[in-house]
Parts: sequence; C-alpha cells; structure tokens
Amino acid sequence: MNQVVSSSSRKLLLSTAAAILVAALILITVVLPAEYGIDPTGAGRLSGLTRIGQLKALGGAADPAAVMHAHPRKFRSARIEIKLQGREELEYKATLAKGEPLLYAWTVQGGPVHFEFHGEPTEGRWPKDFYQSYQTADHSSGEQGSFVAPFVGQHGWYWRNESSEPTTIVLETSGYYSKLGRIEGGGAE
Amino acid sequence: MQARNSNSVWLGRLWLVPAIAAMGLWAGTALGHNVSTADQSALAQNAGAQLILFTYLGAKHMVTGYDHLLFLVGVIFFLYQLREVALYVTLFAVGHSTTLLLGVLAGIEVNVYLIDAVIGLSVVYKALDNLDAFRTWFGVVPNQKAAVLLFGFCHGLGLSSKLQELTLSPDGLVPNMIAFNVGVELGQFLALGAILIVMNYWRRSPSFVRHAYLTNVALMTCGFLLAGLQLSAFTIEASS
Repeated sequence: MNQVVSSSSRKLLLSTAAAILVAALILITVVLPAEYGIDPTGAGRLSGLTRIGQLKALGGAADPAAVMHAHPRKFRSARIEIKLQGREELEYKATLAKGEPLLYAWTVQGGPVHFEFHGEPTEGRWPKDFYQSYQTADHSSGEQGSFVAPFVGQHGWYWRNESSEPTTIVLETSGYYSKLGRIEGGGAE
Repeated sequence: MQARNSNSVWLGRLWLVPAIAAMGLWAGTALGHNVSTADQSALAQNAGAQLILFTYLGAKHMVTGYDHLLFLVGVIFFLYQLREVALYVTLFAVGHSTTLLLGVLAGIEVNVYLIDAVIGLSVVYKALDNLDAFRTWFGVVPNQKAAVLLFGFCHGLGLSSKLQELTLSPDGLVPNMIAFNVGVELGQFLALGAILIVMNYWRRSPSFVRHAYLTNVALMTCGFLLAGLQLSAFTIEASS
C-alpha cells in the first residue's frame, strides 16, 4: 500500500489537533444549531440555522400552513344510530379534504363487531382500487379518537356484525367533512 | 509512488457505467442517512418477501450514506491496482455482511448513534493510516487488512440496527435481509465506481501528490465531525 511521504510526528499531531478543532467548530456553530436548535455560540442565530433546527426538533409540525386551517363555516357534528342485522356489513364514511380533521367516538350496543377504518381517494391520480387502511380489529365494542385525512377522499368505517343478532352502532363525529353517510355498494373486503 | 498507472485509463472506462448510474441514483435521492419515513411506511404496509424493495433500500442506504462513502474513499485512496481495490473492498464487504446478517438473525440492536460514532472514527483511523501516522507515532502500523475487516464489522452492525428499525416482520425476514445485503453490495459497487473514476482522473494530475496530505486531514476532520454529531445526538436522545 502506498502512503504519503512520511511527515514529522509534530506535523501529524498538529494536523490531528487542527482536524479535531475544525470538526468541533463546525459542529458547534453549524451542525448543532441546524440539527437540534442548540446554539451555544449564537452563530446559529446570526445565520438563521437555529430557527431551522428548532423547527426540526418539533418534527416540522410548527409550520403554520400545516397546522392552521381557518374555515368560513363552523365544523359539522352528528350523532347517528346505525342498525346492523345479524352478519350484515356496511360502510359509513366522511368526505374530507387533505389535512382536515375528524373527531369520532362509536360504541356498539350488542355484540362486538369487526371493523376496518380506511380511506379511498376521490381526486388525483391513484392506482386502480387504491385504499389506505388505518386501523382494523376483529372484535371491537367501540373506538374513539381523532383522524387527519392524508388525502382528499372518503374516510370511514367498514363494519361487519360478527353475530347473528341485530346490533346498533352509535357514532358521534365532529369535523370539517362535507358529507357523512352510508356508502352504498357493500364492504371493502 | 506510481504517478501514472497504465491501468488507470482502462479502469476509468470500466467504471464509467456504474459511476454514471451511481451519480444518477445519488441525485435522485435526498442526501440523508436514515431510511426515510416514506420508505418506512411503504415497508410497514407490506409483509412478506419484497426482494426488489429491500434491494433498492440497501443500495440507497449505501449510495446516500456519506459515512460509508468517506470510509471507502479513505480505503482506496492509495490503492492503485484493481486487484488491491478488489481485495480491500471484499474484506469490507465480508465484514459488514457478516454482522448485518448475524445481527438481524440474532436480533442484536446496538445503539445507532454510538455505532455511527464508531463508523465516524473509522474514517479518522483510515485517514491517519493514509498519513502513516501510526508508524510515525508508535513505530508500528496496525494490520490494514484486519482493520478494514474489523471496521467492516462495525459498519455491518450499524446496517443491521437500521434494518431492524424498519420493523421487519418475521414473514420473509431472511429473503428480505439477504435482498437488503445484495442491495448494499450493489450500492457499494456503484459508489465505488463513482469514487474510483474521480480518483483516477485526479491521480493523473500532479495536484494529487501535492494535496494528498491535506485531503486526508480533511477526511479526518469529516470523521471527527461525524463522530461528534452522532455523540451529540446520543447525548440529546439520552437526556430527553
């Protein structure tokens, strides 16, 4: 293996020390401010990198356009009782624009049901029959939570009564959906 | 020092195809080291054997992984003959494949920040070795082949830990892991092509000898910077 022509021990030590010093300097004045918003020297504040690092530390979630959606109208709310015959399956979905929220709570009066919370895009170019599954369970007697639509489309539940007895699902929702209702044409599976 | 190697022109042409492909792949992907969240969700949605996806991810990890690339630059810096390049790169590949495969199979997950800090220090080692610092300081040179193999083990442990972060399902684990490893080797081949073509052109100019010392000091600086970044990340993670 060829090497550089030998250098003196002193020169190599100085070079190594310089390498450590330069690395530490770049780390403290550029990398730490930009990556973590940590800025002991204040150099990151001058260059604006600290701001980027602070945003990053928040997971980019502090971008106002991403988190604030002002609307000209009030959100919708609903409480719906959905009757399921024995072994019946149906879909109930909300039409949401990308980034819009849906708060939901549903309980089953009767036996547990199988459900799949999923969404289908209604705009844009997608693979044929594309749908995105968010949550599935075989035996659930109710769920609650919040959901933010990742794309424009119909997002909601496929429910299947696993018993032969009729049952009722009580669904409560709030959110900026334009439509909420039963999707005709049966199940997702 | 062989300033002008008759092989270098031929070598340059041979490596042209993968080099251009590597540059294209590099330009096409964000320069980041961790597997992107988009890739992660693509993975999480599908269980079972997905050979092409995992091969792609392995290749992408290598081609966009600047720590692996810097180490490769250090390793081949003074290797003029294709046979030597092949020997050292094979040692590196054997090293990282061993720990990648064994690490995943045994479920060994080391702290990614700490292993990446060691990988940063492997760049420092190689730069100092290129500068012949160990002979100058201690009168002995650590066995270069053993060192490349040893650091290959470290790089593989890092790869294994990152692969396991992808929440690998046991369904199709072995084929996916092997596909990832094949991808890593393909990516290394492409990256090496890009590095070699640039090095071969540079070696033919007199500036190579003149700047070789400074370049290795710069390489060492990058290694220290990588190690510092990873240790900072480790400290921040541990304290939060």
